[in-house]
Amino acid sequence: MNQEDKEIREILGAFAPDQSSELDFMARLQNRMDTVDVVKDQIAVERRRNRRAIIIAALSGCLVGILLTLAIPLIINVIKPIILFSAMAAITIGVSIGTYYLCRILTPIGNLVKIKEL
Amino acid sequence: MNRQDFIHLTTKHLEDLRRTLTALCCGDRMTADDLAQDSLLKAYIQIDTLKDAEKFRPWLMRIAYTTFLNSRRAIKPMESVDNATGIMTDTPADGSFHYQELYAALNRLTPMERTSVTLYYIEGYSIKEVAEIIGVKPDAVKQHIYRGRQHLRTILSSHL
Repeated sequence: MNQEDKEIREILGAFAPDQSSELDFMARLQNRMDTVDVVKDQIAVERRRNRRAIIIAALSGCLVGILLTLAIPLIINVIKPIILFSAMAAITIGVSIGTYYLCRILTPIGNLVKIKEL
Repeated sequence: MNRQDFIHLTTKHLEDLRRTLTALCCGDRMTADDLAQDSLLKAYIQIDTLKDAEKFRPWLMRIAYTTFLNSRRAIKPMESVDNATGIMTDTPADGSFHYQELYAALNRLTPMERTSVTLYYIEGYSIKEVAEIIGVKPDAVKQHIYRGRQHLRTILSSHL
């Protein structure tokens, strides 16, 4: 430690400025801390509420998923006739449309053959 | 850490905090007290981030330093403390006049130099601790202290 450092240390080491009352300072601080506590409490309540909502949503999702999984055979049994009926109806309509166009193509050809024979 | 523990630690280090901020504010006790209040409130809000209660003092000083820097960016000084240099008083209640020369000298330092000098010489932190508080490398702190000491020596030459 050099002389210069020692001298500065002596001047600054003795630095002890007068301060206003510590009690007043702490009273003011505690008032402000009360406000912070109110806000902290509100945030905690809000967080708790959000967490509860998330847990309820997750549990509901799980429950609905399990129920749907268990009900799949039943659902298939209910849906199967509807699917079969729809498939048959689609095939019938397809065949009918196909026959219609086949007739429209074959009729002029038949007419031409008849004319040639005459 | 609960509120009671925080108040206990605050009471323990309050004098150091107010003295440091008074030095950083060059004797403006009102501003120093406001900054001390703001720093302590910030510390109270962030208290859950403090893992080790043993490190409360440097942690609080770091918050105080950041608060001081932010306040300097926000507020323009109204009147230089240099104007008060040489004013004499016999009133014991106004003991702050005793330090006018020192405040004027500190006012000439850059915020970084002033903080380094204050934490090192007044609060007795090591170079490494000062570096952690103000967020620079120890070598930079050594430079700030060296420059600050040179400036103080020139300004306070009558006392040395």
